[in-house]
Amino acid sequence: MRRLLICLLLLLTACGTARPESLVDKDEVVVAIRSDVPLISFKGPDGAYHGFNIDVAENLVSRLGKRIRWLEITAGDQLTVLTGGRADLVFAHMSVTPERKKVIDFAGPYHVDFQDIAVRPADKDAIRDVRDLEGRRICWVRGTNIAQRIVGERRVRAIPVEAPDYNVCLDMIEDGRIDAISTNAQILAGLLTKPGVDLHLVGATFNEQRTSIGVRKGDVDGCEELNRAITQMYQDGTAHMLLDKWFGRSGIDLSVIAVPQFEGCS
Amino acid sequence: MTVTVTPPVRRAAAVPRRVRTLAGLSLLSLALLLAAILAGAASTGASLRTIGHDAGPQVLATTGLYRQMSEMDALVAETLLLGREYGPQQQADLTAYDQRRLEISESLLKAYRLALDNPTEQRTVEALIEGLGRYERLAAEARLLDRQSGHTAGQPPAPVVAAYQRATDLMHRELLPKAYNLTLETGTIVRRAHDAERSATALARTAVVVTGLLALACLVGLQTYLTRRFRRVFAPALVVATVLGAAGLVTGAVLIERQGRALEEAKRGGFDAVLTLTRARAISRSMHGDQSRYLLDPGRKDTYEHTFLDKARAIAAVESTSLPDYQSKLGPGFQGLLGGVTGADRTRLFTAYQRFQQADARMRGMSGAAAIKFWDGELTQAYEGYDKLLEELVRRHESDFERAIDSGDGALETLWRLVPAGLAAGALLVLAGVWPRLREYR
Repeated sequence: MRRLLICLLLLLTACGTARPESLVDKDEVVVAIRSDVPLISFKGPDGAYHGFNIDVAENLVSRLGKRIRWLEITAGDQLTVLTGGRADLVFAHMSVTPERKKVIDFAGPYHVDFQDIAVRPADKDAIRDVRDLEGRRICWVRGTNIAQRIVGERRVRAIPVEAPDYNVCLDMIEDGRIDAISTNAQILAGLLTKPGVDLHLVGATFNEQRTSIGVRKGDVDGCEELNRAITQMYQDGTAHMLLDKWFGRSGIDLSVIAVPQFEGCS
Repeated sequence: MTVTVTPPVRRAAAVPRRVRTLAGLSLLSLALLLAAILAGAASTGASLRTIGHDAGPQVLATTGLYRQMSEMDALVAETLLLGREYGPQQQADLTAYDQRRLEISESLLKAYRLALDNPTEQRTVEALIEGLGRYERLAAEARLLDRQSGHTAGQPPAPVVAAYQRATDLMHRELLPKAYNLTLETGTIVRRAHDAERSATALARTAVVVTGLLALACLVGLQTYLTRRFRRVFAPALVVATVLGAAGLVTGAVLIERQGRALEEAKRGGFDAVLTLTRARAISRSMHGDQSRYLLDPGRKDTYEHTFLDKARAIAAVESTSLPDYQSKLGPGFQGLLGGVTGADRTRLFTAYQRFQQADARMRGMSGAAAIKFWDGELTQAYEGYDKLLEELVRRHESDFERAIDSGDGALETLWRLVPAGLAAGALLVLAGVWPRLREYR
C-alpha cells in the first residue's frame, strides 16, 4: 500500500513538471544587447547602457515584473546566445526571417522600420534609391541580412563588403572602400549622430524591417506575455514617447505610430 | 446483560469497534472516490465549456475579422482600378463592400464580448472601431475623386492614388495588425484555459485512481476481517459493494480519460487547425490585395512585391531569396502555416496554391492594361479556386471540432448519472453487510 502511494506521488509530480522552461518563471532575466549602435543601444560615458532598445527592454521587462541582467553581444552572436541558453531575450534590432525562426522564436515586433541608404554627400545625386546601388560596394555587417535583402530579394547587383560592425563601415565609407551603408533607418539615424560623421540619408524607404525580440524556441508563455506588454506599451503612449525621445530629431518618419502585427508565438 | 461478564467483554467490544472502523473507512474512501470523480468531471466539464461553447466559437468568429477587413480594402482598390466601362462590376463590388462592413461589425461585437475581463483587448477593439470610421472617410474620398475623374480601366489619376494610399496605409499599418493581434490574443486565452484545465484533469485522474484503490483496499480488509472473525467465507453484500467500488473506479477513470481525449482532439484537430487555416486564409486574401495594389500604385511596386513575398513565405515557407526564386522553388515539401496539412489535402492545396503563384508570376511579367485584364480574369480565378479549397478545409475541421465536443459532452452525462448512483449503492451495501455482524454484539 505504501509503495503504491509512493508510485502515485511520483506520477503526480511527473504531471506537474510537463511545462517547458520559460522566462516567466524567473525573477531575473538575461537580456542580450549590442553596445555599439548609437541611439539604439550604446554604452554611455557613465558605463551604463542607453538607447531606444534599452528603454524598450526595461519597460517591457518591468511590465512582466522582472529584473534585468544585461549581456553584451555582437551581431554574430544574436542566435547562439539563445540556443546556447546564455540569454533569455535578445534585443538586437533583429528582423524575423524563416531561417532564424527555425532555431529561435520571436516576440513582437515592437517596431516596424524601413530600410534606408546612407552615402557620401558627394554621391547624393548619383544614388537616389536602391536600384542605384547596382555595381556599387555596400557594407555587410556579419550576422545581419541587410545585404542579402538588396542583392537577393531586390535583385540589385551590389557588392557586399564584409565588416564586423558599423563603426568599421563608417571608416570604410570615409576612405572610399565602400560607397554606401544600407540598413534600418533607425540604425542609420544613430550612425549619423556620431561626431565627425558626414553622410547623407537618401530617404529611400524600401523593405519593411520588423524589429523583434528573440526568445528561446518553445517559450510560448514568455513570448505571449511580451506581446501583451508590447500592446500595453503602445496603448498607454509609452512607445510614442520613447520613439520621440530617441528619433524625434533624426528625420525618421514618425507620423504613424501603431502596434505592429505580431509574428505569433507557436 | 453486560454486567456479568468482564474480561471477555472487553475483548469482544474490540471486535465491533474494529468492524465499525473498517466499515467507516470503507464508506469514507468511497465518498472520496465519488468526490474525486465529480471534481474530475467538473474540471473537464469547465474545459469543454470554455473550448466548446464559450471562448472557442467566439475566437473562431473573430478570426474572420482580418479577412473581412483586408477584403474591404481590396474591394476599394478594385473599384478604383476598374474604369467606368466596368460599371456593373463596380456596383457589385460596392454591394460586397457593404456586406463586409456588416460582418465586421458583428465580429467586433463578438470580440468585445470575449474580452470582457481583459481591458487591453477591449481597448484594441475600441481602437479598431474608431479606425474603421477613419478608413471609411478616406475610402469614400478616394471613390469620389475617382468618379469625378471618369477614367477608363487601368491606373487612376494621381490624386485618386494619393487618396487611396492614405486609406490603405491606415488599413495596413494600423488596423489589420490590430485585428491580427486580437486573434492571436484570444487564441492565447483559450490555450491558457486549456492548459490549466488539462493539468487539473490529470490531477483528478490520479486522485480517482488513488481513492479508488484505497476504497478497494478498505473493502477487502473489512471482508477479510469478517471472514476470519466470524468464520464466514463471504458476506455477499460486501462482495457486491467491492465489485461496485471497482466498477466505479474503472468507469470514473475511463470516462475522465475519454473526456480528456475528446478535449485534446477538439483542441488540436479542430480548434488549432481551424485557427491556423483561417489565419492562412486571411493572409492569402491580403496577398491578393497586394497584387491589385501592385498594379494600382507603381510608385510602391517594390514595397507591395516585398510584402507579397513576406506573406507567401509565412503561408508556405520555402527557402528562397526573391519572389521569382520563391515561385520557382515552391515544391510539395513546404513549411509555414499550411505546412501542417497532410495527405491528399496537402496535394490538393499545393496544386491550388501553386496555380495561384504561377498566375502571379505571369502577371508580374506583363504591363499596363494586359496585366489588369489578366489580374481581373485568370489570376482572380486562380485565387478564388485556392480560397475555396481553404474554406472547405476550414469547414471540415470545424465539424471535427463540433463532433469531438459532442462526444465529450456525452461522456459527461454518463458520468453524472451512473457513477454516483453505483457508488451510493456500494455504500448502502457496506452498511447492509456489516449491520448483521454488529447486531450480534448488541
